[in-house]
Amino acid sequence: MIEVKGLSKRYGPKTAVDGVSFTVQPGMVTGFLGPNGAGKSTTMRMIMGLDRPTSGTATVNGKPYAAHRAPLTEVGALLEAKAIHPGRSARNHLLALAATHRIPARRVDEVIDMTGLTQVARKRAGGFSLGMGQRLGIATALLGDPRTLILDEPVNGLDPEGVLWVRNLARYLAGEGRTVFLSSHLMSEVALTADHVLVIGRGKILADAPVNTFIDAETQKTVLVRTPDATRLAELATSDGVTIASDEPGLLTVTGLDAPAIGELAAREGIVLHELTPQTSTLEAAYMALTADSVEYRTGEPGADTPAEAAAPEGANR
Amino acid sequence: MTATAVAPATQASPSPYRRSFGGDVRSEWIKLRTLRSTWWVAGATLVVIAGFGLLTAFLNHASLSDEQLSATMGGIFTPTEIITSGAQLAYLILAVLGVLVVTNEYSSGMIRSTLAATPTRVPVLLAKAVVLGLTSLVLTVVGLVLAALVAMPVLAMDDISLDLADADAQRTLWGTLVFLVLISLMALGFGAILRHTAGAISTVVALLFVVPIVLFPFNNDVITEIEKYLPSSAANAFMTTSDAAQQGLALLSPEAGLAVMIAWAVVPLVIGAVLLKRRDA
Repeated sequence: MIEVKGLSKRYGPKTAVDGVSFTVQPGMVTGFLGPNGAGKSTTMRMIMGLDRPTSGTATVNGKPYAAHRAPLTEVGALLEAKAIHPGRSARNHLLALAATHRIPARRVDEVIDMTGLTQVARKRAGGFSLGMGQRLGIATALLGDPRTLILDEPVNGLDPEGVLWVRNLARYLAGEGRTVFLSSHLMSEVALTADHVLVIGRGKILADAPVNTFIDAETQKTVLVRTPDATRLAELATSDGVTIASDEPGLLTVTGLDAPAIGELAAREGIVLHELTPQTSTLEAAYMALTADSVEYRTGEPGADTPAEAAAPEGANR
Repeated sequence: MTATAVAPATQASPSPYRRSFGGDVRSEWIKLRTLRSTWWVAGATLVVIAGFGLLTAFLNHASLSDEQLSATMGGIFTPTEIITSGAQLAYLILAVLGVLVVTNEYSSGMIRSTLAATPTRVPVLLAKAVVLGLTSLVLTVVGLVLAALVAMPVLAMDDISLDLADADAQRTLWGTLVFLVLISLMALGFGAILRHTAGAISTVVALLFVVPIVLFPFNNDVITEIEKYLPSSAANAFMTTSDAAQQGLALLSPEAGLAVMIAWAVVPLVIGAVLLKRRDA
């Protein structure tokens, strides 16, 4: 279990992580989603005690990471693929780290086997491809048989087979009751792997919800309506939970009402419709919109149609 | 907690693994011996100490058998000077090793893995100091033994015996040993402070070679006083034999020289440890 409270990190005038609080539960995969530069890696590094928070706390299994007597058995982390000396072989790299905790060579060979590195374990890691480096990083994370895994962009550089392997591994480890916290900038990857999702943008948590809830909340069904009487239809359709946007005269984008409801309303009021098209935005698009907005907050005034729904799942989980 | 979560064995029974300082030392030893550069450095150290010993022994022999050369050389070397002659270059090699032990972790990103395993951090630097200090010690001892072995036949040509028991010889030998170990530790400290290979090596070289040369021409009381506290002068104070110390060189007493040299090793290490603890990895 990872508990983060009011965690902030500032580098000079730039705020990388801005007072985030969340809990990562054991027994499930929690996806940490956000565009590059949103603060995912910085947050993970602060949990691992590699970066000192400007304020706030992060604990793993009840204690700050550095306070554990056998840190590698508490958390295994993949924070960057090549946190390894290029002149050392994969096996020697693992043996050196294992030695700190008196982890036997048997376990080193075990994780080499698990990650499919047996063929290259005695070769210098400098020649590794990004994918092999990633596998070695995962082997390093698994070394202490940890209760919690923190994986930063674990599928980066992996081939499709590798991606599937990481997905199954994450699910398997969570199935064993471990805490699995993995970051990605790919919504589709998180949707397939995670049970719970944390979305971060510009250093702030934008959503914290079970994946299904997040998908329901974020994949809004919108309807495109073309009518000569747009103003009147907009007035009539407006109610709680309905958002209407208009990009050009005579064209409405309605969120919160489905096509039949709009059609019936128009018929009742005698409004002519030229077009009535239901549109389903993809999860990917919803995520893009959610995180893009968090960027806009900084550069200009907030847009007129801020996604109120985006904030809705926050704190609503559990 | 989800109802489906199954408590794994790892959570029910505490893991048998424990981090310890002994483990950190073993880890650092594995890191050191599994890099090719370490073996190059080790080889270079031995070659330099033994090679210079042999070279100086021949120089000594030549100077003894040639009056003209003898006059220009201004006398002959003592047997201990002969076998420790390579130390003047070897300490630079060991300084490079000391710097690399820590800076190569920063340049490669390895430091993140290291600090994840030992998040309290300071034991990492201590373990590096233990492993590096012992490595420098062993390399110097082996180098000096090799130098003695190769120089002996040359010395025998002039019927010079290698008497290492007298006080001056003992002082030079032990002094050389202590100096080389402390220099490598000083370099480790600068590596930990600067975290950058080129920067740390330049700093160490500047301190050992450039600063003494720059300060040498000045005949000012303050500067002469400062010169005494430089690592090379401090080392001279406890390494050189008693009469050499009287040859107009302004040096500290041997005891003070040793204390200053120890400070040159310990202070950068302490600063390095504090910074290691405080800074983001």
